[in-house]
Amino acid sequence: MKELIEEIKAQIISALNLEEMTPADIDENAPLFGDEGLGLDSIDVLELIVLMEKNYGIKLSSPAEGKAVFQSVAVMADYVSKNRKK
Amino acid sequence: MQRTLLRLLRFFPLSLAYGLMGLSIPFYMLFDLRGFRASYRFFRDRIGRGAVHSFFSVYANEFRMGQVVVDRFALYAGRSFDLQSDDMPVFTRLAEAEPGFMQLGSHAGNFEIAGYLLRSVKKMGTLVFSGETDTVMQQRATMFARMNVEMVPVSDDMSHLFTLNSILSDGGIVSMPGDRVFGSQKTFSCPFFGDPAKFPAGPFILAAQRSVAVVAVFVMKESVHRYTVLVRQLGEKLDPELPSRVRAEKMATEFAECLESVVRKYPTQWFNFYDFWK
Repeated sequence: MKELIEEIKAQIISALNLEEMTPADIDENAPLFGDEGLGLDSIDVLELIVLMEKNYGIKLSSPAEGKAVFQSVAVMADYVSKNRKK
Repeated sequence: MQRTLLRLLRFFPLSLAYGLMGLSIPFYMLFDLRGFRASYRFFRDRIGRGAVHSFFSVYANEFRMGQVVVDRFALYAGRSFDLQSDDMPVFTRLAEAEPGFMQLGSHAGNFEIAGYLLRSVKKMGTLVFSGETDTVMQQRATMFARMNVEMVPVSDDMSHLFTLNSILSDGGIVSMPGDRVFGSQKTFSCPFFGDPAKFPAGPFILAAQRSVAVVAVFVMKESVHRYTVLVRQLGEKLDPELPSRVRAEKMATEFAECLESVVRKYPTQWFNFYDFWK
């Protein structure tokens, strides 16, 4: 799981072009959206949806699903480990 | 009022409708001072026209805007328009290929008409904004239902993003404005008429992330019954190895360039009545 968490952190940094950040700067339990944590917004959600589809074959089709999955990197990793198709 | 307009436009000559509409424009110019000022400054500062010329250009601009609105209702009422274009092979090639693609509109010309008149077997999802009246939404729904077009309203729960993404991944077309910031406040600053202007990052990020083709579509009014469709493919020469955000920004810059060249050719068909450069 630790490896997957690091992999997802690196993918988020690359997808969102967060050049000034390293995986170590991201707290896997911090919320991805809102003022705390990474402070991502709706455009970033879009990036995460595509990231999940391209890298893990997971197609998220509803906001409710997205809200549940994109709570934090740790939650994302847990969901990926259970639902990945590649 | 709008229903009456729809009934009238079934048989009312369009040029007569334009003439009546034109009579009301001085009142708009007089009472909508904010819109007048933005339009006037555009002709003075960006197009470089003199004071008197700019004043009359504002009238011409409002008149064109009125024509575009009347034409939309005329379409809803069952009328049709001639579309002429040298660029249709670009659209047809993408429409006949398997992958999905994006078509971006703008505040120039009559983009909505493209949704009704550009035919494709692909499913199209078109982003729509709240604020339109029930009559307009009903008429749009009726037109779109006939044409395999799904209206995707912008919503707070971000469901529109999931829908648009799903349409693209199923090989459909996503249609949205490329010069309107909505939802996310993320923007790209692109040179536009000599100064940086903010363009929404979302459409370009979606296209870059999904690596789909993007076309800018401009539907410009030429005469009472005729429009010219201009289709420009963006990002064709971009290195696919570049990070997606970089490709997105370059496409936004290309879009701004295309938009500027179209607006320079049709300055009275630029309908963005606020200070775009703020």
